[in-house]
Amino acid sequence: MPPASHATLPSNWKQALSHIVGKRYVLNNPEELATYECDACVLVKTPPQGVVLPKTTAEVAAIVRWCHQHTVPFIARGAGTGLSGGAVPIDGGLIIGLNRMNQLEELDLPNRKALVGAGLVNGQLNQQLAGSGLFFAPDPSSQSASTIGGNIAENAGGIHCLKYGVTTDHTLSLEVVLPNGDVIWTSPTPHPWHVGLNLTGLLTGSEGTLGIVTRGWVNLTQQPTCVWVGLAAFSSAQAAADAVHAIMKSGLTPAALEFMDAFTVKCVNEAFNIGFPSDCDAVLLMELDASSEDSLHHQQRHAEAILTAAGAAQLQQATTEDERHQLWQARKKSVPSYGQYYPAFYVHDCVIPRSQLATVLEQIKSLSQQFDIPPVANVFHAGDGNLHPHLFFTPGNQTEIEKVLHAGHALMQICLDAGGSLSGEHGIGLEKNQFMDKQFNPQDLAVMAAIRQVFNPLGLANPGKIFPSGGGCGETRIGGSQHAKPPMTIDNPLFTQGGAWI
Amino acid sequence: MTSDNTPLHTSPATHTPYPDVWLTSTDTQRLITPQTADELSGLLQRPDIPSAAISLSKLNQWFNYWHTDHTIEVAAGMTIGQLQAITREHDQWWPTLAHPDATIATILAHDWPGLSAGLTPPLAKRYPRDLVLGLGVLTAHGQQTHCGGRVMKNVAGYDLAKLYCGSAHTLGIITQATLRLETTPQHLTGHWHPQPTLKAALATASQLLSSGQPLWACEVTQLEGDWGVFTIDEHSEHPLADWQALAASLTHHPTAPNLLAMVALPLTMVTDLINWLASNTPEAINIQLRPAGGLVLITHHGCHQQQSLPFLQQLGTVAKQHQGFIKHIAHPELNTLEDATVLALHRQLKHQLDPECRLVHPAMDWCTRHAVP
Repeated sequence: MPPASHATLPSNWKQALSHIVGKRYVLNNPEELATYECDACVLVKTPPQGVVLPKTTAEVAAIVRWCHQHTVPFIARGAGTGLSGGAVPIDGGLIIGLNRMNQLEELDLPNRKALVGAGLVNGQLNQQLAGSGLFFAPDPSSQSASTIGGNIAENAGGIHCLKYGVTTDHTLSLEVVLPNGDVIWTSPTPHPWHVGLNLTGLLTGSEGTLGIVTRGWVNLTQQPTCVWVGLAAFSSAQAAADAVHAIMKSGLTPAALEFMDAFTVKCVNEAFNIGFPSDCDAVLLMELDASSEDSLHHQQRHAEAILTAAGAAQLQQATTEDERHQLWQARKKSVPSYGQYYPAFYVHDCVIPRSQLATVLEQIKSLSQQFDIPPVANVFHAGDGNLHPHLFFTPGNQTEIEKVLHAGHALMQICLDAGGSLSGEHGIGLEKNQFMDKQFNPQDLAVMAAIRQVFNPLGLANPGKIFPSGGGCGETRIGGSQHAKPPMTIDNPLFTQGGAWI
Repeated sequence: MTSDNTPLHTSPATHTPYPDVWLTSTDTQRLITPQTADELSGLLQRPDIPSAAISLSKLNQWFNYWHTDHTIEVAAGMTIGQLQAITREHDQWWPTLAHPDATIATILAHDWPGLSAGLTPPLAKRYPRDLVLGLGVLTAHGQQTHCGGRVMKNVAGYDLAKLYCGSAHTLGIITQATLRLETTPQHLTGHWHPQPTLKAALATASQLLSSGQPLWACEVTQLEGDWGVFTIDEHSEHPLADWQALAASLTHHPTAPNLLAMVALPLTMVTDLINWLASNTPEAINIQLRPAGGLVLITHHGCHQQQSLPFLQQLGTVAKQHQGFIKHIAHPELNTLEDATVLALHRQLKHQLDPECRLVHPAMDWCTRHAVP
């Protein structure tokens, strides 16, 4: 059901935009638009009035200038793998799909950097880097589909960001189409040092509300020459959480340290016959890397001693590259494997201080009984405290959906109370914007709104995202926006019947 | 503005809020020159600006040290040396390797790269901004605000810490910081690798960097007139006596009076620039190279700052020819943003966050002060 405040497009919009990108790259048939009514968070669905698929920055700029001239909201979109509703055209308007801007435009191996189009798929960049000894470090689980522009917009993380950092640690300079159609580079040269204000850091993770990133220089990282992947099984989540703490305290910096609970292990085993220990309550998957075998063996012995002391009931290690690949594929596919038991779930992305892991996991466990929902499944980035609790429900069952939403709200509050944050890598988007005032006070949010006002004074760039009110038009303080959206509840007609199948 | 240019120096002992400072400066129509004790003298060289100077020197306590989470929340007037002394108890450090006498506020305000900038293990760039989890910032309106948090990953809202770091307090005064700590590597030692020439030193540094061994510093510099490479690593053989003192001297305080400029350029251009510097650097000017970060530090010993101007201007041109840029420190007015739209964005940001343009700092004056109404 489209919202009442849908933008109105001029009658000649298709002709005007066809003139910029060509007729075949302007979409407005309902069946074509259906693809763009949501991203991977299907909590809110609303179709755009049109979709434009530009090929160049000049085309994006022309489209945005046209939107600015006609006060039409626009939303940049990559592969639509976002998990927070960041690409949902909540106010209608145009989707600007960047998938055709998918070129690796320049590869500067000696200086370890690459110039990429926003529509280039993360995994494809790494495929093109194969054999170079370098890689693009951010590796969200969606990397086989998600675009680097989307990664930049959301400041995506991934399994290996524990050691190698999130997307903002790898952006050097961004080409941005501002909401009035002007084009800038955030830094005149792709170097981490800067003259003037650090606009690259500000734009990264701004969810398309300050402009559209069309190209970017990204940093490439040296591939480690020696890698070890191991698995430790524990009789309780508490013991696994303690082991995480012990590992991180020891000075080891694993490339990855992932937690899987018993239900997740069961699903993965049944789906992929991977052979994870089945008689345990939690499994930690850990990757270590180094530039020499000696160094790696030293780390490995250290890690095994810590895990054993922390009560690991079983220790296993991958002995071949294939086994390592299989283990990580099992981890990355653990979420789809839930589909064997539940048709839909609502995934969260809170981050908590590592020391709170055991306590918070226990509190999350209690949500099941408290809200009368199926047990919450946990598979997450333990090393940096980035939780991904999965709350299950049946699509179309409004009672279950309501319970899951209430449980989700309680879960976010638990994490905030523990000193955490609403999101570690999925972004705020539409999904969590109504909770931003629980993490930040009005003054903090007012500063963010003031900055948005500089870049996006008409509120046309991705309206309704990040801020609690969803405000966009001319406001510099929070509250009272004409674009205010109700929170996502069962009573909200924006909430889809299909629920959150992601 | 008042015609009385006598600086009003205020040194609050608490940071929430600063009512006296704001009231006083408002009553007297003064600009506010946010500054930490360690850069006070430099800022007071601006007699043209009637100012209420706020020193953060008394704000040097820590509020929370979650050592199990490798996280500490401190007042920004704390020095790097004080911070390291506190975290040492738990074998932890803030691994930027910045000057021990510099305050955290100053390091963050200038996003001043320490010796570890550009060295990879474990994080990508290791600029100070990369090791900040959250900030407390006093706005131009006198409100204490916060951004970020205390967790290792956080994408809730705009990453304002990235914007404030490097803004020289001109968008808001950094009063608190929550920092990401790491476990201190064991057996860390400093080594001096003497070399006959600058070029030989650069070649040695390249070899060391490509060896794959973790390094926490790799500086090409001169010791008592002789070229060499200074490294910090975990090798235990033949360490340099009192290497910490040498490391401290190489970090440079971001407002040290002998600092002239920093050149940033692609790694592959470093050799070319060094060749140019080898034959064009005046007698009284020193160069120090941080090859992993593509950074060249320009300092002077004894020449008047004005005498260095022609050289610095020429160096700026050469840096640009080598796909890099120069950031002037002694002469910030020479810095430029050639893109008029980007410059306008800077001034609009300044105007939006500080409409009366009261937070002034020479380091950013050139790009933020002339606010766009």
